[in-house]
Amino acid sequence: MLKISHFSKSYDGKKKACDDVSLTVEAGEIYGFIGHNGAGKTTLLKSIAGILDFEAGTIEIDGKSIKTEPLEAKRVIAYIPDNPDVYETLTGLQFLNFVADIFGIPVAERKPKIERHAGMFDLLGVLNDSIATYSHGMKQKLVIISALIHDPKVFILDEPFVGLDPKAAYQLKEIFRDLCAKGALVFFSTHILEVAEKLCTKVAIIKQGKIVASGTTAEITKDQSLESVFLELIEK
Amino acid sequence: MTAFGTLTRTLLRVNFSPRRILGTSYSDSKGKQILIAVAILYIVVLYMGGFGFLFYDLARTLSTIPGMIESLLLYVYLYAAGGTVLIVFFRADAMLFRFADFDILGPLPIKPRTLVAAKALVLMTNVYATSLFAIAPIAFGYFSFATPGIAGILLFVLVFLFAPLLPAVAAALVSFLIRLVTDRLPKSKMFNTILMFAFFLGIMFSSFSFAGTGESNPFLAQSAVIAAFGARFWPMGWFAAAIHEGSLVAAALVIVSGGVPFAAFILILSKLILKTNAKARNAIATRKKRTLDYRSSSAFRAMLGKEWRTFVGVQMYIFNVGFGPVIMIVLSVASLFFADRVLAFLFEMTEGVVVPVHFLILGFIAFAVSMVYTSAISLSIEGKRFWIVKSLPVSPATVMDAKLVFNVLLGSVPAVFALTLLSIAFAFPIPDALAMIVGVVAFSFLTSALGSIVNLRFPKFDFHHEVEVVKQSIGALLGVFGGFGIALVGGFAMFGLTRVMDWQYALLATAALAAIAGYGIRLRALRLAENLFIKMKA
Repeated sequence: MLKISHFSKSYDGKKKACDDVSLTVEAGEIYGFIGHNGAGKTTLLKSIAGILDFEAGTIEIDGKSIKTEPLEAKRVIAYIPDNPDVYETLTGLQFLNFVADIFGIPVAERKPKIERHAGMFDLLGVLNDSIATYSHGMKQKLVIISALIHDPKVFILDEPFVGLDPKAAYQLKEIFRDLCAKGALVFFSTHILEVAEKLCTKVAIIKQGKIVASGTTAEITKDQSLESVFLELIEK
Repeated sequence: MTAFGTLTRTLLRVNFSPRRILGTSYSDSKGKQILIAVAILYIVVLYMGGFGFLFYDLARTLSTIPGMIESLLLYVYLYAAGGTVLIVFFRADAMLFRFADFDILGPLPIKPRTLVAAKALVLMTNVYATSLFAIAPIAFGYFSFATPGIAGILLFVLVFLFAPLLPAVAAALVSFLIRLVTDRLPKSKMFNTILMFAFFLGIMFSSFSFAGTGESNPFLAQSAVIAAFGARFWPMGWFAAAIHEGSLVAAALVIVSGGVPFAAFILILSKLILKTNAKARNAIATRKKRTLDYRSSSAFRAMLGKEWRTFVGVQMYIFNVGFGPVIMIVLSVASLFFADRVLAFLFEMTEGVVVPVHFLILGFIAFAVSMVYTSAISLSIEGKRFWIVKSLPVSPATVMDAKLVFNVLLGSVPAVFALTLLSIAFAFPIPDALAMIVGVVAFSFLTSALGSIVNLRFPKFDFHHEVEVVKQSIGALLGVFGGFGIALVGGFAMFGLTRVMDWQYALLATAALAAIAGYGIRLRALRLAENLFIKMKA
């Protein structure tokens, strides 16, 4: 469902932020993307979401190229950035209605979803408040709720657990599992290796823009911890 | 280097670097640099050609009357003070009382007075830059005919630095008091906006009411009032005496009358100012009992709704871009009751040029519509939130079209309303009124389309506060002055056509040209958006 082939991206035309990256994520997989700061994780995730342009390679989402058919591809994606900058002049509900309108989700369909997820993340009581009054974690939760409005087939997240309280982090993991059980895929970057090790069916490790290891979590870790494998690969 | 020196140097670098002022991508191409240089030259020529000529003419007239040339220095003080009041009044909140980088600077081991002094200095740098631009034509007129010598020029520089301090303190205190009062009210943002608008309009109308009618040069008509001001407000007189007479005592009085209140403001209020900043971080969520409203709309209307909520949600946006609609509505409603006074007020704005009433009204409406420039900055306002529209399944063309249509609505709806009332007040025949409405809507469409191109070419996503986009960006500059330029070209085109047809037909023909040009520019903007969105870094 998510196929990245020979993807390369450079910001200055000289140094490559991502260099010949190829990955395939199938439906039902929770795929962890691990790397040090500046390794190229966010660059790849933003390119998948259609936020960044890239020079070489292809990214296909559900068979649609993000470059040549961006709108069709974006209809099945949900993207959550590492920093939840949202429209602070809107209320939480206005933002959710805005996203639902863009996806063309009718009221009868959006209402139960918003109420279920807002209830789950303890945001129901503040949906009529201005987003400017929300904390970082509340904004993060709001963006997660907005991402679930259209039942995405491809869920792309950049450091999703940063800023979430333990209960919300647990619920997000449950949402991952639930989405995958319904045939969607989850592709997320993280620095929390314990989470990646326990949650992900597959992982990829990126170092200076290149994939240095990828496969099922069991294949990658063998009899070691993911932390040991990661440190070994990064220090090579 | 001291903490104050390091902090001030860093803040000045952050606030006034070319990258910060002009946007993130101005240096990408030579073409953009040339365009910026041409735009700045155009603005300077337009400004100096208009105000510069009028003040030079005024200086020449005053130089023929013994003892009058120094009164130009009173103009310098008053215009510098007026500019200072407006800048500080509108920016003190964002730059002093709720500055965006408080989260970074607040926890640092810096004394409150050091931090507030550095912030105040950055604010004053804004003031000096803008005041210098405002008084340049007057100073040019004065120094062309008066001969105060090198000492006079040096004293001019010295007292110019201190003169704006007293008005700056007064404006900061008023802005602070309004904020303190309105923060306690429900709908505080709305009350604050209304009060600020009322204060601003009050200053504007009173400044225009200085001028009488019948003088060929409107600034000459202001001289009696300004002289009276100078006699009562001592710092004005000291300012003039310091420069014209080379009086060191007067210069010392200007320095003391500005420096002491400014220093006192920092020393006494610095702790309170930092407390206000800290409070702004603790905004309490107001739990509303309203039921949740899950209304749906089309993607385009959702985009329009977002534009509207951003507009009304950012105070600096309303003040600057909403000024045009507000003045159109205020003046047109006033015309129903005080038609003669409104007409006299409008004639003051023509700087002495006598024009027929319908041209005068068209000029005023075009001026007000030119000041509606959301399409030239609203893409930049997306800032760090640009990822939202970029990741959603909405085409760049739809995003830009919504921004364009929003600007047309924001300019045209109040313009149509104002033209209707003005037509009633001045008893214009219905066909004339309709022709004017068509002309103004076409003008609004053209300036909006041009604004879209400007913002696509000169985006500025890297900002700390919206004021940097709304007031200090190339997009804002080109948006407003581009509108003025189009109004001028349209005026000349219409004037030319009136030699071969009635003015109503000339106006409709000009409107048709504007609409065709606007449509072409819109199509270009939408194509550009499709190509540029993905390349824009935000």
